[in-house]
Amino acid sequence: MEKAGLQRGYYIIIAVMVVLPLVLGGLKAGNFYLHVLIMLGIFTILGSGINLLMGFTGQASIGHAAFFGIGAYVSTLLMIKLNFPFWAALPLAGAAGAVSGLLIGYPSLRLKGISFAIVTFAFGELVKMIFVNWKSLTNGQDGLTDIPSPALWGINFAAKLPYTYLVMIFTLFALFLVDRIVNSRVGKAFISIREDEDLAASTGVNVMQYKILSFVISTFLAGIAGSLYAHYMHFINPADFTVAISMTLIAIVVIGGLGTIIGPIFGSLVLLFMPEVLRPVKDYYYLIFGIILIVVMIFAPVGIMGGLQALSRKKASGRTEAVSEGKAS
Amino acid sequence: MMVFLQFLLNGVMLGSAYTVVALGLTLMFSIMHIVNFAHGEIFMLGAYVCWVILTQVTGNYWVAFLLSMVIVFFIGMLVERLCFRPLYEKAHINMFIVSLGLVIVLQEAATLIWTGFGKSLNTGYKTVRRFGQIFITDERLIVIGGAVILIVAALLFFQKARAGKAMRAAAQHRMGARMVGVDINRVSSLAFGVGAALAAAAGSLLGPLSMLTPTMGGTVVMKAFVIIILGGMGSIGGAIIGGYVLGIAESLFAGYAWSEWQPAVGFVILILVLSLRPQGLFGRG
Amino acid sequence: MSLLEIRDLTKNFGGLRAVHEVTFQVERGEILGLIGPNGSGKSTTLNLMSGVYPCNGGQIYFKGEEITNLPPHVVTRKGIGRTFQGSRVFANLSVLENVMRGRHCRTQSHLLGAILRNASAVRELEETQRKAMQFLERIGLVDKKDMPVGSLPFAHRSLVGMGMALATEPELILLDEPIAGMNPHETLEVMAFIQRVRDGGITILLVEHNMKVIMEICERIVVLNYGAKIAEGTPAEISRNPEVIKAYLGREYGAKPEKS
Repeated sequence: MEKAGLQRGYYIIIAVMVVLPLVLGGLKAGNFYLHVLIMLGIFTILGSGINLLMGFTGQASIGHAAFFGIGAYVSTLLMIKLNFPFWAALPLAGAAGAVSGLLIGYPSLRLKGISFAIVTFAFGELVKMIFVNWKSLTNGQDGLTDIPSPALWGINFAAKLPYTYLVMIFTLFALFLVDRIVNSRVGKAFISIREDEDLAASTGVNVMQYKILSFVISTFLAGIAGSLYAHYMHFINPADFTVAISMTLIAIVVIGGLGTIIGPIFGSLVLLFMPEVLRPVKDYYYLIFGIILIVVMIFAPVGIMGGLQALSRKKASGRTEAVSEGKAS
Repeated sequence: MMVFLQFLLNGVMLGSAYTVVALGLTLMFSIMHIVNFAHGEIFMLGAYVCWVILTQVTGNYWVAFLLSMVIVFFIGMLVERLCFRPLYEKAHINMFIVSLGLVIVLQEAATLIWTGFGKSLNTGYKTVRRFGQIFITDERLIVIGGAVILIVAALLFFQKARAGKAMRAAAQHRMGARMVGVDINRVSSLAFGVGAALAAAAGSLLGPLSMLTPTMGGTVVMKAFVIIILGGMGSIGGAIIGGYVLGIAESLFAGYAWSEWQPAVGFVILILVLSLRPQGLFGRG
Repeated sequence: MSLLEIRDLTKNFGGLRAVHEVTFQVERGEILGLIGPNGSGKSTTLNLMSGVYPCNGGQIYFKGEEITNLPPHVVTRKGIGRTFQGSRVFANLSVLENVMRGRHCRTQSHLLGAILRNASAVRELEETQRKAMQFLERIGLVDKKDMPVGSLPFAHRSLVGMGMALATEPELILLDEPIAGMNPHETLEVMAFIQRVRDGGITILLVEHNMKVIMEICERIVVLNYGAKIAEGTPAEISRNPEVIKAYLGREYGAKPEKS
């Protein structure tokens, strides 16, 4: 059983996160690698939240780009128009994500799974419409430019290396959060809900409350990711937050491994590099993407991580306890 | 007043088509619990198949319309067998993700085969009729007429046909139905096929009114679910009423208000209804 | 005072009267059978009692307290456990994990405890596993604790479902057709288990189609037909009751009730 304090796996991940940016940053194409790390981190934060919602609680959201966008715009506007420092803007972006998640989740999570997904889809469209049409606030299609970098202790966060570490810290935070939750009583309740809601209720789980909790945590993480995105790209516009992004997020989680903790990392990696790998068949990119999604769900719903874990479980057949780095049950 | 009636008539036409789509989805989802987000893409497929038959095989709209339904019916059964049946025992979300994959695959395939340029589905009925100061084309009348026939047929199917009753039994209790000899797999196949055929029919009906594009099914599925949620899950009558409510509301809103916000209508109605009456207008308590 | 009392309980689905003004009590320590032909409203009654459906009329009292229309998770916490038709369990989880789920209503740690994983949260998780193992021993499936329940035969699945319900530490358990689809040997196994549960101090309301089981282990029986209660009494009384016989046989055969 789990002991209090951090497991060994965390120390490995932390070590990697400290060393990797330095190593990659020093290479010839250092800036490119750091860019990849940053995007990887941002998508992993997003993916972790969605994984908690979809992989562990079994609720689908096709509008998560909306919360990503809300975080980005809120953080940006707070800094540009109200001169908030980044260190206030970021948590408030997360809070904005959480609050909008609560507002949408509360009336709609009583619906059956896919009906709820439809509501999230509609919400995503609605939010994008607001980004486009509320010109006085968001500058519409032209978007917001000259978004400032964070400022602290004189560190130049406009440079890639410091920003990479910034993102790494929050990525670690997201992974940690999901891992802790999943292996706790709360996480087991989520899983019960995913498997059979009525049965879960009969064991004393307040299904609505837990669904909302799961959703709000995922939108909170999306808000934070949005803030990190905005202050890295220095430019955001509504086209950054379309339903295609929402679908990509789902693909990240599915391909990486629904219901595993570090699945989103692998999924993000795959999705970041897939356009490069498939460049020769560029026209068929989305078609292949869709087919992969279907095939993975039918034949390997556990994704990359799940498959690896199943293999390692077969090897260590004497072990009977759930290990926290992997798939929780 | 006349303007209002014009909008109303347009809304009835939209509502008729929406209802057909929603009935197809009710069959798949509310009754057979098959989660299929690609319903709008089947709608699009139906329109394109109709167009292909119309332009390559026969010039007769009605033949193309019916053939399209038949072809999509079989495609639907195939899709059910390959993509959905393996997932019935798993958590619902798996079916949902597969159907998302289908959305992408169908849209991309349509773009690759028929390009993104709009195609024109020409019924051949060009007459514009006039009632007082209200104008309506024959094409729109066909939408209403065709949809009503399909709706009535669907209602009869559920009430009378053995397959329809089997579906209702299976919806109540999958295992129980199996125990009394209902072949769940065949019923699911049939339900999916019929549901797909209905979506295809709606596509062929609405197709002539604007250009066919691979993304024309985009918001359709969302509207269909909004209708089902509005009308109450599992309620066929609710789906019918919900369909007309949405169609008319959209038409009036687009007519009188900012058309750029028009897609928001369904969403706002949905949130309002859900907050005030969670089980939908006609849902079971 | 009866452990559970329902008064004039009514449920309509659209125009269909599923349960109509049903009244009866469940006394502490008994095994009460609830029977009736298909569609007579047995499962619906269970669902009303456990809060899965809201009622259209009537009241439910548990230990003297009204629990009508309370949501399922609250009903469980108050001390009513249940199983579901079709040996329904968390098929993709292991036997142990299934039974552990039943401990949710008797534990507390929430989000903060999860994130901090402080000593009390950890202790609670260990305790949960320990207690679940105890229940596993009672249902005799300790050696299968890590197997996914979906791979077990029906009889064992049913036992797991009951183990999960037992883990909620109920005073009353509602069993919904726990014996459906079992062979005679499995039937005896589960029957014996149900009696052991009652002997351990838990009251049981048993919905079943298998008449032999009902007649053998129930002290009293309530009979429903078309949503209404038509008879109540001991197994001997029920087997002689003409209304009951007509309900089961009369529909299909239109035959005269047999004399016994």
